[in-house]
Amino acid sequence: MTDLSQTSAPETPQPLGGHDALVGSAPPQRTPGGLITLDHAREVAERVRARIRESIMGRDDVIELVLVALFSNGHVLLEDYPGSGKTTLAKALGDAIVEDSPADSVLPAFRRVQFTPDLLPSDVTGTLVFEPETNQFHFRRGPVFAHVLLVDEINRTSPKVQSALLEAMAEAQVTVDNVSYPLDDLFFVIATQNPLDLIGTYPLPIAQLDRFLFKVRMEHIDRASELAVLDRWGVPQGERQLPAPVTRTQVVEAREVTRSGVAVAAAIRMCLVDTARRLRDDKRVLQGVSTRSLVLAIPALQTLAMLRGRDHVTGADVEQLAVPLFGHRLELIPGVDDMHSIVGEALAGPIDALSRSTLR
Amino acid sequence: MNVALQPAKRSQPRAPGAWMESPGIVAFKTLVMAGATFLYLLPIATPSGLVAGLLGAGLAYPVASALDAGRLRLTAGLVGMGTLGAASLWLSGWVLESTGIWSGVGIGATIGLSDALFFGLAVFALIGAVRLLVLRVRTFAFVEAMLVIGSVVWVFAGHQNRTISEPRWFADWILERGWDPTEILTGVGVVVAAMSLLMLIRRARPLKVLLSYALIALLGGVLLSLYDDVVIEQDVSSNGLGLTKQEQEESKEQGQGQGQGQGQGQGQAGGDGEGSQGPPGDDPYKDSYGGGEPSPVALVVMRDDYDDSIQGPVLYFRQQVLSRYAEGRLQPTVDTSDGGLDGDVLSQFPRDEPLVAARSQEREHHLEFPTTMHLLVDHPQPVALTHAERLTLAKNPNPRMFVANYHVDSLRLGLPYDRLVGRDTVDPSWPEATRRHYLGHPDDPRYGALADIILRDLDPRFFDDDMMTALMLKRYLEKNGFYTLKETHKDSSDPTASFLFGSLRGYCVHFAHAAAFLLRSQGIAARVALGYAVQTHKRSGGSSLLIMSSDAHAWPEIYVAGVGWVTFDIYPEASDQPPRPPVDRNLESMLGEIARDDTTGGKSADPDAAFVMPWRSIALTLLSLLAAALALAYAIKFARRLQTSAGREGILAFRAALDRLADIGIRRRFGESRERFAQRLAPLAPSLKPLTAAHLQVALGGAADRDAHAEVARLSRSVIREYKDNTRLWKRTLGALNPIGWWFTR
Repeated sequence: MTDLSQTSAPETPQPLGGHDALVGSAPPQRTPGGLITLDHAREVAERVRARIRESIMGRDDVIELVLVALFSNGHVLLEDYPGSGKTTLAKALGDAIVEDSPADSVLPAFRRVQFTPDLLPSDVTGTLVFEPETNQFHFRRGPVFAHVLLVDEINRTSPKVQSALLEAMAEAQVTVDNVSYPLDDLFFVIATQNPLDLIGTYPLPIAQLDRFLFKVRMEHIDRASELAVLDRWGVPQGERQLPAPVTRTQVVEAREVTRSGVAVAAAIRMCLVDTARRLRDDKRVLQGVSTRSLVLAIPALQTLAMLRGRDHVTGADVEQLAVPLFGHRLELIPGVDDMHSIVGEALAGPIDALSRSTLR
Repeated sequence: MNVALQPAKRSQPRAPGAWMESPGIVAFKTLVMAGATFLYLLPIATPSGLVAGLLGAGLAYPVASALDAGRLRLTAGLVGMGTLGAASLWLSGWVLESTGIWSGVGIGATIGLSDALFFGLAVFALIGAVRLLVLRVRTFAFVEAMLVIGSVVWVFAGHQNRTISEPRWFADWILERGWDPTEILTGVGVVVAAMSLLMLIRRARPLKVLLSYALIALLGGVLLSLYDDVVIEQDVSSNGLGLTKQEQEESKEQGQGQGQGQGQGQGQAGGDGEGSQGPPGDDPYKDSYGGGEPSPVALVVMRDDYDDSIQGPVLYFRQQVLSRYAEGRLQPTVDTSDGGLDGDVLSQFPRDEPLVAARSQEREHHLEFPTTMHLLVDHPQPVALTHAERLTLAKNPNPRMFVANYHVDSLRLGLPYDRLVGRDTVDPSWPEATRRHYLGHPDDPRYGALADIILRDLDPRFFDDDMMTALMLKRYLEKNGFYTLKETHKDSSDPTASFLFGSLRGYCVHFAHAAAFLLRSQGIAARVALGYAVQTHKRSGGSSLLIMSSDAHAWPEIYVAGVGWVTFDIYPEASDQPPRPPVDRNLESMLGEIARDDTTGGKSADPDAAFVMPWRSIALTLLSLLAAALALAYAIKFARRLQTSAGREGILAFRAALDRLADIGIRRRFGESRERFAQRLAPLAPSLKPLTAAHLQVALGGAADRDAHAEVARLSRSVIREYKDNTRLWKRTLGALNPIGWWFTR
């Protein structure tokens, strides 16, 4: 717990400058059934994107993947170098979402956990604490009870802590002393790992990487963006014109409307399955992609289509997400590391078939 | 606006292996080169050498590629290969000579080993060197092609000069199936040309190459069938009886203008000694007897059984006779129609009407013998078995092979010479002019004197008997004459006299003329016939008889009253000529089969059962199929443009727009998504992007209504408009003509 107290974010959400703006803005248009429209979902997403872009320069590709993961109920693993902006990214994401749920279940918008070798599972999930006043144990929630959780250096802690986190990610609940505590609907994990230092780490096996929707490799940003970062340093955040943050409910609703509103044609599903089968048949691939990854791919594709303002998934979406989706799920034979071309080759045939099918 | 749709191709410096041929092409080339090696080695190598050579050829390709990729210096590579070649020679010699090896494995195995070492290494070194050279210096690609062509030339070199039976294994195979070797060999030429082209290719897909070659073969077949009367000018230096065309012209112009000095002896017209021939009056046979390979000149099909018991095993085919004595020598009769001189020798080829010779032979003493002549080379006058009575035009069974074809009805003498004794040799009914014509001879007393000396030994009982006299003279020449081609007497002013009163060494022309003059000096009507004498015992069993250029001959004929002209050939007993090589029986029977138009090659009893390649109908069928396919393609093309169906209007309109682009070769690449394709084409057709989006909305989105379809159709029209605005007219025209653009719409 000592570690956590030092590293975790403040317990209570702190509404930021833009909060009032959102409250004051026009209520989202709703369909007669009470749901928001796809356009509104997109507007919510774009607002989140705009806020993050204000904080993070030159990472539009990563921001888009993070958005896709956020709105398709997935989680992201960032592989990056120290000081590349991952915390800023996660924090900006947390700041962009404000809590509007009933007061009794108020959660922090953003929390951060630094994974160290001596961490225990209860440090992540929470633990039962005895309260002398009531003579009862009561559950004290760990950092997973947040909207956005940043897990730093996930590979530095022991597998059992990793497993505790991964279970929370997969099941959307934690179980302590036989009592299950559901996590919030908007539970979004951004995990990072350092590709440089491998001593004393517990690399995530492929099976565990499978829980992450994307593994994003962050490259160094370009010169102009780096200059922009320096320019902005020290300018108080309040002075910047930020779009209003979105509410938790809006994000959850946007997820739902994307799920139901974006069409996934049979040809797209065939394309996905055929790509996966080709990847499994590739001689350079030891371990192909799982069926779960295909299941997870559908909402991701829908979200991307939504972000592009479409109500249907196209081949271009599959092309764009194929490498982030499948790249970290493949185990290649030793000596082969050209993931992009392997995925590209596997994709060519199914994409071609998909494109041809649209003429029939 | 003409936009570049393709990324600009930049020339890049040559990296090792950067221009490597595609594996399929290398495999093809290896196969072709192995085939060429096989053809080269087949006649000269033992089986072990052949196998080793094939292995060497197969290995040379990958090894040379590896050397090329390995940045080896070209010079070093060539020197290395040369050394290897020299080493192969030394190694095979060493294996043969080292006692240890042959005592260990036996002599046969040693020879095999030596052969394998030599051919394997030498072939490897040669092809490897060529390969390396070609890989490094593109210009030398022709060397590989030449090697391939050379291998086939090497095999078929024996085929030249009408020797269609060579190479035997190939010609047999063709003729057995009743095909025409000429067509097949042209086909071989097409294939070889294609193969040698292959050696020049670097990168291509094997399937594409195969298709291209199938197309070439098809085109070759079609062209062959359409132009089946193409005659390839044969390279035959001599024409007819050894006359070149030029010399024929000369002889026509000069007529009999040769002086006495160049009389019956050697022709001087060409003036270049051994290889020259004179006008018909002179010796036309020299190069036929001399150097050069004998080549077939005519084929005779005998239409009756031939019995050689009466007149011996030689058949005389006469083309011309020399009987007019003028200016010191015998010359052709100028006008045969006048006075019936030599009217029995037909000098014209038959046309529509049969030609009938003047009656000279008494049928009572002759046997009829019908033959058919098929001339393989041009002759100025018809060649026919003596004594031809009638020539009738015959069908030409193969215009590519035969230049003249006619049936000949001949009369052969049915009596031995001794039965002619006691007859006159000058017809008493002859007018004086005729008599003088056939008795004219040089005004040289030595002829009479020599004849007197010869006739001193004549049995007094036969004194004054013309036939016995003739036989005595013939016997004298046969006993004392020496047949040789080495003495030509061409420097003498009167070669006949030089021969007869000099060394008595000479050849058929000398003998014939000497005999004629001796006979005439004794009042015996005689003339010299020119033609071919063929020894029948050398022929193969069939009824066909092949006349070779080396059979050319001159012989005397005498006239026997009540019988007619009698072949009176001189057979010198002494000769320095080696026996003639036998006629190629294979060729003889093959040509005979062709002449008889027997497409089964004599193998099948039913000639209709033979398989004849119907090239023309194949070509017509293919052409009509092609036309039908073209019509179908255009029909589909325009149907796709106009097609519409409820609920699919948008998709069909989109497809129609894509068809336009595909017509000029713009199409979505494999693996390219629709959006990226639209992005790539944005400079040409900016509306393709919204069109693609609208199309995908219809195709992949949920429910598409009429408005969505209408939107796609509207955008399709604007894409087509942009295509028209941004593409040059000629390109659009080509696109409009392209029948199969739609096939590539993806």
